[in-house]
Amino acid sequence: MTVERALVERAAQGDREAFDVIISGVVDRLFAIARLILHDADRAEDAVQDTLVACWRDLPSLRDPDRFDAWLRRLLINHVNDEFKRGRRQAATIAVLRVEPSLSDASGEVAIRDLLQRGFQRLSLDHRTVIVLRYYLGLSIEETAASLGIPAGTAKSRLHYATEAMRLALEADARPPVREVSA
Amino acid sequence: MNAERDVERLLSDWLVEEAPSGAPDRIVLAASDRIDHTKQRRLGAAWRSGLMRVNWQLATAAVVGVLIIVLGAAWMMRPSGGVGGPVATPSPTPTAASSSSAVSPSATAANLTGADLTANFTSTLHGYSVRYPDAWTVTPATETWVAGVRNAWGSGMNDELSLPDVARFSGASQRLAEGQTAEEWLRLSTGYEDPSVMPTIDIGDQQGFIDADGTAVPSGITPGSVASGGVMYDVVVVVDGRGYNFNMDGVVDRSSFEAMLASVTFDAGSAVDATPTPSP
Repeated sequence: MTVERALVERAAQGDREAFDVIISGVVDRLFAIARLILHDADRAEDAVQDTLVACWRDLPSLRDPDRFDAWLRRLLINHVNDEFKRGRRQAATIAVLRVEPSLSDASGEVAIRDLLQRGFQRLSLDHRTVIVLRYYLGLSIEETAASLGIPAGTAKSRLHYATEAMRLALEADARPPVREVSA
Repeated sequence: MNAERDVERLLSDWLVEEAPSGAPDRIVLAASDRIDHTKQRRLGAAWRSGLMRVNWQLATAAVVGVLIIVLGAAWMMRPSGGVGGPVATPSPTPTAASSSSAVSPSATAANLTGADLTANFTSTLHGYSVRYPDAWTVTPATETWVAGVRNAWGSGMNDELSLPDVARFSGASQRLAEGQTAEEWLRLSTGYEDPSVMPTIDIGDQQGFIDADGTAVPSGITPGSVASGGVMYDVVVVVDGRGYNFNMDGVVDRSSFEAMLASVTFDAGSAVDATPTPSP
């Protein structure tokens, strides 16, 4: 998701064509990140759309075009957070987590995917975010911290707890459906 | 390979598998449509068009603030008599009334809640009140915010409540020009052709609009954010014929800004320029 400096500079000067080129190069990745964190395609679309508009509006504030990628990630994370909060407010209902029984799949791959999905959905938004940034995008701790606007130590600690939670989820046996009350 | 590495590998593989291969076209179409009606914010023109003198003011305020915090902390930590006594929190004018005499334990701007906002500031110049952590420094505005003039950080037009080098909450307001509608003021203030598309946020009992939502504030800008590597939140609202602008920058988070905004009460009639100056 590295965007050319010249394009960023042109877009920051109001060049819509340059901005459209930037958008076309980043939108898939932005959507993937938002979709993974939010686990909801509609809300991910909204978050990405808001991010792109904010990117256009605030791009002139970016004084170092070489930092565009990190800056854009941070914008996205902010909008994903907003969307998550909005979703929580709208969905103040009792939800039943869909838990497929762990089929005695010989390879265990299906069961592992179920466990990963179930474990991931139980994570807090912060923990989901740090996992996606680290294990999907492959960012370093420092890059992850910069994307979240938190100290590297905090990012490292957050990642540790999130990974540990996922490890525990993987170790857990198949459980009966869990009722969860969304705030 | 240990268990942790196994989990990392599984997660990485699973995320790649789960990730959608592409974004729906409608995202770009909808965003483009909105962008067509969105002006770019010129950072230098909006908040950071301050003069060099502003740097000196900020630097002086920061040094004084740090000294006060250090001295206050040393006083609090002395062997005896450390509880219950007054703490020398800065109170530049009588309008900055602290409701508590102890330094707040929340000496950061992260995750502030209403419970952390133990002091009250009333802006007689701009016609509003807001609650803030009592360890913060208060620098009331010294100038009114005249229409057409940028209320840059450190310009003297903003009330500034800050934790030096960490976070700052700024507030200013101006009377709408005669015949000017709220929508016109919002459009001029934010650059949005259609302000109604802006995301909304609660400011006291009013609904305001978000103009900057965690925007990164790069270092090296004059006068720049109160903290290097910080972000900025910016909201506007029109109440009783006055346009208000609240801003928070530094190492801050959205929830802290929301908490302070929720505590805002408006009293447009008390602003110093609430009524038009009579013509000679």
